Amino acid sequence: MIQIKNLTKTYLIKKRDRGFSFGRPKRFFNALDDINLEIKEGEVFGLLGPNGAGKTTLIKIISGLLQPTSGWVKIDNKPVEEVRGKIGLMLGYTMIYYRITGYDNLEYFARLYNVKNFKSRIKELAEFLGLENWLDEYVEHYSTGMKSKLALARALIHNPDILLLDEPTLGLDPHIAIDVRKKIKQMKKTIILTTHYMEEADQLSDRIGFLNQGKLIKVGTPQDLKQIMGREKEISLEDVFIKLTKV
Amino acid sequence: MNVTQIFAIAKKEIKLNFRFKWNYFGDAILQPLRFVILFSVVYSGFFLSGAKEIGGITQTNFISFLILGSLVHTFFSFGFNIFKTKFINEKYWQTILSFLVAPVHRLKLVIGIGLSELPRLGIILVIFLGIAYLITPIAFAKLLLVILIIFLAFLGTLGVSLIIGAFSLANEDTLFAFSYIYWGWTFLSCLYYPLSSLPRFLHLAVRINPIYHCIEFIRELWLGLSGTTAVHLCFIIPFAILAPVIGVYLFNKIIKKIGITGY
Repeated sequence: MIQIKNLTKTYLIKKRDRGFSFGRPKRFFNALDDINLEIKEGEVFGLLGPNGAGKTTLIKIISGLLQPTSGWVKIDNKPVEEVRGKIGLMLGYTMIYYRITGYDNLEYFARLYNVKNFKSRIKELAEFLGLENWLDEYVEHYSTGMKSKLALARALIHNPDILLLDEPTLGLDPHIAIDVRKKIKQMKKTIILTTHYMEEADQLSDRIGFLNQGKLIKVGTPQDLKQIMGREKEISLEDVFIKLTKV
Repeated sequence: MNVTQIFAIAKKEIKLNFRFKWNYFGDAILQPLRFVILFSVVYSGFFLSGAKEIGGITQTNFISFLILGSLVHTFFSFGFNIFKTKFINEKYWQTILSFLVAPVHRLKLVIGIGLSELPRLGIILVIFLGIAYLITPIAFAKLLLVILIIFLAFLGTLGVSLIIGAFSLANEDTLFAFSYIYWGWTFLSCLYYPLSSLPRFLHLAVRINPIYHCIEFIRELWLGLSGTTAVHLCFIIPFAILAPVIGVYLFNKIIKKIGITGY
């Protein structure tokens, strides 16, 4: 279980003004503001919100990449630092080396995570994600879709209990996006997923949380959230998103 | 210690470096030659003008003196700058995050990266020690001791480099300062000239510099120049042990406190 309690992340940012000067006036900016959340084991939790809402910041804090200004995250009642090996993180199609082959990438990360029988694990993931024919190619020759799949394979290499997926289908054509979603759906893991695609969140998530300006403004099942719009027919999550995040 | 992770880091780094191998090897082989050629011209000028000896350097040993200095300089230079270059690359490739989230002790990174430099540093080591051996042969045990001392100094330098690497991730504004620290440190290491050629007020700074003790010890072993072995070891061994440990501690502190900025 993932527990998030009173989580706040504040940045000190310089105010923009004309020209260049040292010691510009500064202000505080809350990227996350008092987030409280519990995600159950095996649950797929979708995080939705406009650009700059704090979705990636929250993912980075849960993964241990960023420290919160206040509050805490615990996984199975332990601080994140103690359970880093249980977490798989995918930030779009980054975090993979383009200058080596797909296989070398997966082998490297498998060894970092002490994966036993890594060869069979790589084979298994390559088959699962349709990467078999590409593993011996340099990643720089991959299409965006293939890079995303490799990034997903990298996140899955150590068979983590918890998967943090930040925009896993960003920039993918519909065929590959559908394929990646299908793969995510097949995994029986605790997943936190951020996306801008409402149908993706709708299809994949057991519950959805709406983040806006660093605040978690609504949490519920896709069905519950659609109720917000009333009893009108053909309500989509996009309608709910626009209503909740209207400035 | 689980060495699998260390070898995984080294193997991945070597593969990344071999993607553009001419650049990888070319720089390493040509860089040390610059200083040997430059200072050979200077010392030749001294001896041709009638000088017999400069701080223990004579007409017969100055080539070995410079080659040994250049060898230590190469290890020092690559060690000092490696994490700065590496982390800047990894920051913009957005791959550094994948390492930071992995459950790997940072000390393994230091050793793994050190190992990954061996293909090119090994070539320099063999060529330079080979030339020095042909000019001034020494006992095999001494040769092994020289190699050990070079690697100890390299390990210590990698620890310092990790701190600089943390700054390259956290705040690139500080990096220019490290270029000057590198320059000053090299200057105070007496790699190409004897201590006596520096002004007296700098001698204390030189004498607390572990790289100076490394090269002095090597020259003692190789050229029979006078010195105190125990004093040299008192600087080299703690440097090799403490610098990586302090480097790892500060790296974790800096990354935790500031995080990664600028991409």
